Amino acid sequence: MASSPPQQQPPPPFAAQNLTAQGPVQVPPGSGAGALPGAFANLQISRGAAPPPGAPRGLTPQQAPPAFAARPGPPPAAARPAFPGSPPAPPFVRAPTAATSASPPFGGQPGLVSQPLPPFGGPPGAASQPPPSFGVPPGVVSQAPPPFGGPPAAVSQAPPPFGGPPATASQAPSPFVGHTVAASQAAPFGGPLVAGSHPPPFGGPPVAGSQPAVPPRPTFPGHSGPMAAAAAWTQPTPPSFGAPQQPPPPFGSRPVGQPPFATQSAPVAQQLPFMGPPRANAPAFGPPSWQAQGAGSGAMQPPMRMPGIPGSMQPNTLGPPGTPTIPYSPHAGTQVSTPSKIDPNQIPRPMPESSVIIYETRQGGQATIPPAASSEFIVKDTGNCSPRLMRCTVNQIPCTGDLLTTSGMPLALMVQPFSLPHPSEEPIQLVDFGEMGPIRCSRCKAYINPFMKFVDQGRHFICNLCGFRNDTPRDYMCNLGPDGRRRDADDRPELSRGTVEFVATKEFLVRDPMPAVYFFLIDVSMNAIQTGATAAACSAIAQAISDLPEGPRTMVGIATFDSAIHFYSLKRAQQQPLMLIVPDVQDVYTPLQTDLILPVSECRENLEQLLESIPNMFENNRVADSAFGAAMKAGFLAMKSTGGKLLVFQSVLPSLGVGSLSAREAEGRANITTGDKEAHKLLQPVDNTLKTMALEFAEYQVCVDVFLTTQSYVDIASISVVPQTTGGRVYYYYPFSALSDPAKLFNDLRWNISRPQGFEAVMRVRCSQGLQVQDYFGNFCKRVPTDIDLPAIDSDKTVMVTFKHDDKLPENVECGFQCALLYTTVYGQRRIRVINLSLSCTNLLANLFRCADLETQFACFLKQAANGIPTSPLPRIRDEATNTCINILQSYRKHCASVTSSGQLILPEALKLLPLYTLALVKSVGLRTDGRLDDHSYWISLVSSISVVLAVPLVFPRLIPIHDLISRDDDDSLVPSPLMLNSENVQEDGIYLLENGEDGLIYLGNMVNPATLEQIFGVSSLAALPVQLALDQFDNELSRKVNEVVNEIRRQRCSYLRLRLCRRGEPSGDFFRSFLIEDKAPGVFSYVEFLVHVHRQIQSKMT
Amino acid sequence: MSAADPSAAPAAAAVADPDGPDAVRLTWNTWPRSKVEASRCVVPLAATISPARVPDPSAASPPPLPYPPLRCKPPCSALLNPFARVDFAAKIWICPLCFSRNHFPPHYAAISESNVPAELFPQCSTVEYIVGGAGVPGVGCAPAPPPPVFLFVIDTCVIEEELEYVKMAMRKAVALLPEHALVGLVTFGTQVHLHELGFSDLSKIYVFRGTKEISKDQILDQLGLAGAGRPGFPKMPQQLGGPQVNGMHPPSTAGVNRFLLPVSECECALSTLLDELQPDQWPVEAGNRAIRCTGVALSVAAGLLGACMPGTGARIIALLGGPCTEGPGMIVSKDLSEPVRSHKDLDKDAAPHFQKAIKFYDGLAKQLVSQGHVLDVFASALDQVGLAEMKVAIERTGGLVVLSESFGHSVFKDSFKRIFEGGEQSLGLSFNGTIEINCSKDIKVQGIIGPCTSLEKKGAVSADTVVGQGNTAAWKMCGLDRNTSLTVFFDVSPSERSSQPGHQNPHLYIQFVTSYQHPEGQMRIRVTTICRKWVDGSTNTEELVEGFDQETAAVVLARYISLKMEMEEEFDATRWLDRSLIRLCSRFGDYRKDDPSSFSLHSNFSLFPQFMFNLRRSQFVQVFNNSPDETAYFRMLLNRESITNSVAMIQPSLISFSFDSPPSPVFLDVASIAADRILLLDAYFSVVIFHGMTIAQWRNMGYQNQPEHEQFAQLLQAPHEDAQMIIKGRFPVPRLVVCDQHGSQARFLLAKLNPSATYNSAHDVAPGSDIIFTDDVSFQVFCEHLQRLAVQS
Repeated sequence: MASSPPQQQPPPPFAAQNLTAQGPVQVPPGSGAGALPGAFANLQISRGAAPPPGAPRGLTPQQAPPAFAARPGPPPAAARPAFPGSPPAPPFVRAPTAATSASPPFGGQPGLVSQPLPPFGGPPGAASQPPPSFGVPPGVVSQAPPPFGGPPAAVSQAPPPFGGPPATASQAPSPFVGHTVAASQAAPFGGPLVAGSHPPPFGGPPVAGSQPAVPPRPTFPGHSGPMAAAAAWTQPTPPSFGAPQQPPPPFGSRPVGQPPFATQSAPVAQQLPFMGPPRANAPAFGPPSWQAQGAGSGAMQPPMRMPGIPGSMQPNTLGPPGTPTIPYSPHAGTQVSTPSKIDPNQIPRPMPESSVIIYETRQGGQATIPPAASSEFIVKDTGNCSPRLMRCTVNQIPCTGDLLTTSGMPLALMVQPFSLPHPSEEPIQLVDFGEMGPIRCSRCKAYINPFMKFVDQGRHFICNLCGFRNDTPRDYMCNLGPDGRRRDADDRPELSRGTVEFVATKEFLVRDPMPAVYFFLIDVSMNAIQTGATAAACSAIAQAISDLPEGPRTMVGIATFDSAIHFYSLKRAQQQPLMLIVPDVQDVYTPLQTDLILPVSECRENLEQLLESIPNMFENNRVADSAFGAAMKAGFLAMKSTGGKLLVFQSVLPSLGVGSLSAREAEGRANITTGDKEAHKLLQPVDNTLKTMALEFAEYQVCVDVFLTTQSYVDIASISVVPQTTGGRVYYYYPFSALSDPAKLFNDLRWNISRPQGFEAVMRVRCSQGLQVQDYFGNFCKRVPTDIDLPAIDSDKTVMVTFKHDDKLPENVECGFQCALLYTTVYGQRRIRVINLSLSCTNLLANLFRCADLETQFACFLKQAANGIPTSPLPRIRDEATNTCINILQSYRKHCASVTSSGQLILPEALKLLPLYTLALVKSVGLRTDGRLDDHSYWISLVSSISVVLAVPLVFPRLIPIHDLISRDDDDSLVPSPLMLNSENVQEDGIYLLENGEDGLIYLGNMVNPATLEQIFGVSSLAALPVQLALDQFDNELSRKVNEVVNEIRRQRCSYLRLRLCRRGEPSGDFFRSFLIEDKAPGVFSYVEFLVHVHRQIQSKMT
Repeated sequence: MSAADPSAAPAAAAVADPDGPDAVRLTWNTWPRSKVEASRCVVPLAATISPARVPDPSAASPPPLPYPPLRCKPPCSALLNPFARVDFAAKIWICPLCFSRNHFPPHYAAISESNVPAELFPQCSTVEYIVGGAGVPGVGCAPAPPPPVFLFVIDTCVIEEELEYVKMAMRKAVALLPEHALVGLVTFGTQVHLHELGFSDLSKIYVFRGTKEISKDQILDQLGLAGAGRPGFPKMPQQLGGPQVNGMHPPSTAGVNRFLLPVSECECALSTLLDELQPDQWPVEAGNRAIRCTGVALSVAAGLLGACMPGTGARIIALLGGPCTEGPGMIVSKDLSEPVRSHKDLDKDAAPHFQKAIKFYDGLAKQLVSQGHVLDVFASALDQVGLAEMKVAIERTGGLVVLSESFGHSVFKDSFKRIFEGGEQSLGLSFNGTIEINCSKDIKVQGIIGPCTSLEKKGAVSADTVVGQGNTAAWKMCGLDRNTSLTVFFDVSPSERSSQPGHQNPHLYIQFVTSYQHPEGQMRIRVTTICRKWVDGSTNTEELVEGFDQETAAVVLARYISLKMEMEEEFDATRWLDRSLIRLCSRFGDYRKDDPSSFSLHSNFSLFPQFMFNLRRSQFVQVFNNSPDETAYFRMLLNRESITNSVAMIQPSLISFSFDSPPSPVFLDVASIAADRILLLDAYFSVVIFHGMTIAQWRNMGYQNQPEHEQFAQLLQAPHEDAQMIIKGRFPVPRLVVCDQHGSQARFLLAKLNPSATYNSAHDVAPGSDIIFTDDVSFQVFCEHLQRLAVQS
């Protein structure tokens, strides 16, 4: 793709920025910290020195265009050619057209959704192709924003351009079209755009130039103006960074701060529903530019700026630990008396990142520090893998275990082997070594990678992991160039890319690659029928069939169950399928060896017909029992010979047959609130039955996903063992509503089967000598210590791998990590995806802190906490989480910032938000003492495979006002910038959406304008609001906007939010407020108090 | 006072019908009075009775009586019969069995010498009563008779071709069934499929695994019928009488509607099902037998009927295509390297699955009997299917059994069809029979051999020694038909009082009371009362000899010895038979001691040695020539058929057709073979038409097609017509073998012939005749030995 080195172009844009940032960049960590003191009385944020100029962030012209290429079609907007962004004929794309027309990803709202379908990353091709379409030479692009610029320019100067979109939207079924386009264009370069609405398209730079102070980030402040709620912190935000202040003005003119998100979202929009999103959202919460970037691509780092700013701001003084003062009252009453000098407006908070970063994984022979996971970036694989696929908690590896221990930080990799790429990224290349198979180290079996060193005229190569000197196979011989590299290194992906895929040879096959098998199991017990869950499941499946991978190797099967299991043989020419009932649920079996699972092409009509008739067939079913475990077992037996995905739709507590469960909740509820020490036992599986079953499933490559459409306790603690062991997940719809949940069910299912994924996978992570893998965490089955078996792996699943030292690492040599994933594609090809990461080693603690990756570390803490919940009392887990935070900060305070006064709370720049996130973790659903058992269990199961990108939002949600979407107006951004999570931001005349990637809570104040209500919900008073919410789109702009925002978020999160209405004075309102992390809640600190607490702890440790 | 002449009836009737109007035959028609005398008779005192035999239409028998019978006071409870003494003035009758005096009930008030009820007519020693049937005056609002129930259990582990035959047979059967008959369908192979016929949305099948024994309660639970039949059928079905029908309504109409439907309602569904039926889909590995779970299939069928239809007549009709290789009832493993057990294995106790399977089927039999249901087995396979193990279940429930080589074979096809046919050809399938036996004092019942089960109701008539199903005074016959025949073994045990010469009654009475569900649906009670004479055997051998029935005796011995062979290990049947025959001949023969040439036998005994000779050589005794399945099959039929038919099994009949003479019986001897004869052998299980060499040549040259040789054509045709006559009246349909002299199929004839000419004696064989390659002794030699031994002192 990017033939021209990114660097060249970027320079100009950044130049401007650099101005601001310069100073800091070069400043060594220590000094950086030092610089600030003056500004902050007690609170210091030291940002690590930016590493060598990383990839310039900014847009490479070429890339940018690509994404939107299609879009430019301003004219088009109306026409809305199928996703502009979408490549001509991406593999997955088939969706595009089809999707567009009929089935939106989240079918709920057809119009909106339509675009999503997309192309998942799977087909890298897609991504790569787009560019061509834009064909604009890089150079051109940069110079002539116009092309895309159209929009941008428009934006900056005249909102109209965007205004346009809406219009388009109205015309076009898919509202997004218009928008997206705009957004998309902006997106890539968007950063800039946002920043200054004024800024030119690519404007980052240009703008910058014009208004030096206004780098992208400012965005935030900008909106604040508009938002009432925001007011409180609006100004403050900048605090840390002076920049903000200046920007305000510019934004002031700008209506709402949508831009930031809009821009980002744009890219997403075009891509696939989900794929784009993940990244997109990042920006939203993205660590403020300073932090994330500080660490990341130093070149552009704005961080520098901040320094200056702080000064201008009020010092972030936390004052004496004991007496923080909180200026505002977060929650009525909670405020209490916390006298403090801390200005809540000064304390660290995430800043939205708006610009797209171009990130090269290695430069100058060294690993670069990746951008924050939540930011939007485009990766150029120059030797190390994309951080999306694998990222480390620290970007330099401590040479000794002692050093690591001292730092208090974890050493772990987050591996997400199928993570969705940015649409503009180059696809992972496929390498076929033919009969020979991939070259491997003959000692440790590591796969060939760019870090294996060829010596002796290329006749030997030295393994970068174990150091063994291997003979180069004759066929693979190549001379070395003057630089010591093989002459063909750049032509061979396996020698130049961090990530490649090898075609697996016979030695990797124990059998023919399995077909893609999908087996659906539907609960038809009385409860399921009566609540509409069965009908919802049937309809979801019927709709989703068309999203199954095409081809003769895609097989489906279906069964229903109540107190017996009903299989259906769909073969047969005859009109009616055959129903085979397995009544023995204690000891199940499969009723047929063949014919239960058939190629979808052969039985599609029969299947659809059957799905239609199932709800009627069981309409009068009076069987209340549900043999969930037995049904799974039976389904498993039916697919045992091939393996595949078992999708189970369950509605009640499994009461019968193998693996039946009992209602433990009654006792549980009582115990958990009384703080019973044994309470956590209820979060453990009740026995080993399901685990044993799951192990067997995994052995035969069966992956189970469970969709719990329930209105009661179902013991997720026990049930979730199965998906967790088999590489699946639990979907939870509680309390199930036939009105609002079917759409989510469908979209979840659809995403489940259509996202990039692989089957019968085995994964192993290797690392350099000196380190060893300590453990794996995630949804898989582990039989031998070194490998994990994943009956299925998909783009949403992340595996955490922890390491420990078993020796000392030499400082001058890089430490390598290699993740090898052997899997079968949905089309039946066996491949090995090899993901390499090589990081330098350090003996300096300061380097560790500078290179710390906050979000990755936090994801690690989150998983560890979740992992511990079932086995330890909650208070202990909370203490551990807090202590981890304290230990890290204390280590930094002690070893890296010792020069400063002990009265100051000094935070390492890279981990500035650690306290905030830790507080959020402590207050999260999973660590709260109240709440339903199932909610806890679900949360735990969710966390076990959560990606880095979604980890933070899960506990630190986004709060968005939606009542004033219109008034804030108009431009390109789709999702307004989030408000800080405290009650000051929640006004009684407002409507807010709070989302964490799973749930969307819509909070309605008591004084909401009826007109607004009418527009959004179609009712004229609060009283008329339905209990269950299905967000319809009405014919008015606000409604349209709300839907756009919601859909955008869905896309970003790869998740169809469960929307719930929350009202003040009702339990739902309290629930909503429990997510306002910064507030003080009974028994838990407010943010300010927490900082004080942390500080005090550190101090006591220091002495 | 009137009493029929006791001895007149049997004697007179014997001429027309060998079994008489009562369908009762006894080994001895005059009984010795003491135990010792009885044992000296050698042939046990036994009676065979066909309780549902339809009397010869020509013998004008009275129509069934539409009122309930009168019973003697307990404990006797015998029914009023022609042998009772009636005091018309006092309106009293005296029971001939116990001599109790009973008053006639009020509605018999009109009784007088000139107006006696039918049951007192002398010719009505056998009479039927209809009880509880619809339309019977006096019974009132009786419900409609329950419909017959047919639950088909079909083996699908067969090749496509066989399955097609099965489907064809099934379609015919369904077409023949009465519209109101309830039908259910179970198919099985590796697993059991129970078809829910009443589910209209799609074809719905309950699948049970073949490996696991499944209890009745589990089946009910799993079918969602739990609670329905749970309280269950009382272990002992009710006594005779109407309440049985009334009280036995199917407890679970839901189950009935789902799985058992009237033919009229499910004909369509059934035919679709049959059309779609495929051979079992589970793969059969190389070197293995198909996995077939006959045992579980039958359990499921039994469980279903138990839930839906306890106490109502119902048949499980199983069509089996091979051995059960999995789960309960398994007779052989699926590994082909393990052969199906042979008699040798059984002897050596080398049949690892045998006892287990027997135990399983024994349990199944108990369940079926308690529910009143029948198991019929149609086994059509080249291999054994496990009849030997299933025998207990089939026989105890009175089921039908047919063994053939293929579902395409006429033995299966025609037999299967016949069970559904009505009218003249009808088998008269009846259900839910119970038989009770009342006897004069001094007579005890040891037990019954035949298709029935002891109800374990011990009564005054139960003897201490047991033969077959004994130790009871009542037996259950879940299924019975016109031919069903039981052999009752009696014991004479004079009590103190009766041993006093002065009070001796010269007559003995035995009363058989059978209640059953007639094919038309009503419950009927059939009463047969017989009267025979006591004789003082020690002094009057003559009278005993006069009363001997050699055919019955031969059959009873055959049944008895079959039972002993099954029950007693190491039992030497041949030796036992020889010794019995010798003892009998010594006892009743006419001879001078130690002078074989002086030996002669009374005409009543004249055929008996020949019967014994053939019995010794028959499949019943020489079991090693057959598989255990065949043996079981032969024995089951032997035990349930009439005397005439059973005699044919023991000693086939041979008829010769030739130009010289009209068709005439000839000796069952190899010497009867001639080149210009056609022989027709009726060995009951097979009918053989055997063409002599010359006849065969003529036929091959096509003379029969030439007008001038029409006579030859007729000659060729004649045995076929006779054979068809035989086949038509028989169930199971015998196998018809048409063969030529020296042809391979000729063995079917040769095996049955007396080897008077063997390869040892080949030199003096007449041309055109034949020889048999055997070392067996011929009848002549047998008789010589017999005479010599009989006269030994």
